[in-house]
Amino acid sequence: MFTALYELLIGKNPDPTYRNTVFTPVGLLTLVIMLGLAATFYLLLGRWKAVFHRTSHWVVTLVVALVIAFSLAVSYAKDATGEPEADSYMMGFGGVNLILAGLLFFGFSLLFRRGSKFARYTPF
Amino acid sequence: MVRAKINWYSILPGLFLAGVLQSCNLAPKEEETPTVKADTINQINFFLETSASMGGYLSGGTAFKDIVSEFANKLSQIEPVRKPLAIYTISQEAQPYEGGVDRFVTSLATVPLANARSSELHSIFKQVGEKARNGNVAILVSDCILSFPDEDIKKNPQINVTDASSVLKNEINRQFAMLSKDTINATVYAYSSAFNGTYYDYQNKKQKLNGEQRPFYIWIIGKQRVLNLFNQKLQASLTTKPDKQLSFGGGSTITDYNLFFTLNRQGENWNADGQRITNLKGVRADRPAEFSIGLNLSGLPSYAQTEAYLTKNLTVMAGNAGVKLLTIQPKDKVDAKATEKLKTNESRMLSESTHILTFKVTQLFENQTPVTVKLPVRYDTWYLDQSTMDDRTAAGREGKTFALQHLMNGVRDAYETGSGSDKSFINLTITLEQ
Repeated sequence: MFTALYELLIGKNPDPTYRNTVFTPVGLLTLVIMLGLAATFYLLLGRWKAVFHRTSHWVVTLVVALVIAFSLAVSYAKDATGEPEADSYMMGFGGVNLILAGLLFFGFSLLFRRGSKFARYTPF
Repeated sequence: MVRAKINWYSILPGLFLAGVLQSCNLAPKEEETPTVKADTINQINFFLETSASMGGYLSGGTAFKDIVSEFANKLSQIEPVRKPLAIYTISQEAQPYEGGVDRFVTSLATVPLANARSSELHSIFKQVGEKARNGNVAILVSDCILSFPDEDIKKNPQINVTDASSVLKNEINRQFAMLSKDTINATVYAYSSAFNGTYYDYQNKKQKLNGEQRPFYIWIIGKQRVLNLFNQKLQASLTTKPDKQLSFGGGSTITDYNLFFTLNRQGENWNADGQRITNLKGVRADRPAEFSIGLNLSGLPSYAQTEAYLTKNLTVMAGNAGVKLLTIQPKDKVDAKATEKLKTNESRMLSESTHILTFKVTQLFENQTPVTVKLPVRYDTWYLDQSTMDDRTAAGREGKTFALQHLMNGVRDAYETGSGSDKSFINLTITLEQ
């Protein structure tokens, strides 16, 4: 699923390493991390104390999520292919993973906010 | 006492982030390369045949002395070797030569070494072969003239002609079959040298030769892995290259290859995936797909690595698919511009290869078509031209060795029988999928 999604958006790389060892693990890791971040924001901190529940806090968490998603994709691809420097394909992959992470985080936010005590109306 | 108040809620997000960042390190680590124990030679055993028939090579200024001196000298420098070079002279029983390489090389030039009784080659090979086991390498320098013992020739002067192809060949075959069974292989280097002394023809009649060029041979016998390493090191260091060479036993069949995904590539849609090429649906004669594979042929005898040999003998079977072998390139002949563009993964694949084979696919009817690439074992046959069955005249023996074909055929049969008649140097399969 992730392979098809990434290849649809950034095109196919002739190096089979991407299909075989990069796309699926990076997609799954991104999914899990976004799930974890949203759950922490809404279900852990959002039910504990009213300290990290505002929209500005949500934006900070989103930015952190996007940074993680981008660097995860680029560093994973670099390690898997053995390239010393990130090339344009990797940067594109990082960008697509960033967008994916943003959508996932937003989706999980909508899902989890109902379970939160203090962040029920964050971000809107 | 002042109790420090810790704001746990401010630490929790930090802890979580630390955990997340840690998870980023789940990216595949560069595989740790297992420490491969280098192929080490236990000991090099150097045998010089010193039967009387060898005397002419050692008399006066001959290429033989130069070549053998260089061999002994270079052998003593090959590394890694656990034990120092052992030198033997051999006619009937191997005699250790005390005094080391320096004295041996000097004695070649000054002391008449070849004065022993005539020797039987199969007995020599038996003793030499014993010293090629357990990670050892054995080297034999000999004129390689097959001959019955003196007393048999006295009884029947034609025995060397009539029975070489049966009795003598079989004796040789038996010795090498034992070596072949233990995967001990052999390489033979052929040289020629001036010969100044007594030549014994197949009837054991003496002839005085004065500077006539005579062939001689250096056999290198050992386990395949050690033999390859040894041959590479030796060939790199020798200044006098052999006139001809032949390897018996090619080691295991090559079945592995690297499938390149951009090198020499034509066609955009196909995917390289291990030993499969997928998504070849759209290939047509006017829209072909071209791909390359990298092979490491360094374990093959050197003649089997030549472009000419590969071009002549490589077979490609692809059923009803249109698959053609376009080019066979030694790695160093691949276009430099193409190699510069390669990414790390493909550069590594290229560095692991010695030859690049490029294929063209023009038709694919089945969903899945296995393409088989084979290189059958075919021994070089130069020795047939270098063999004579009548060495009584200069014309008959010019550049030739008596009964060499029977000696070589005996060895060759030992390796061919041992490994099956359909043995291949290369036997690999590439699967093409629509």
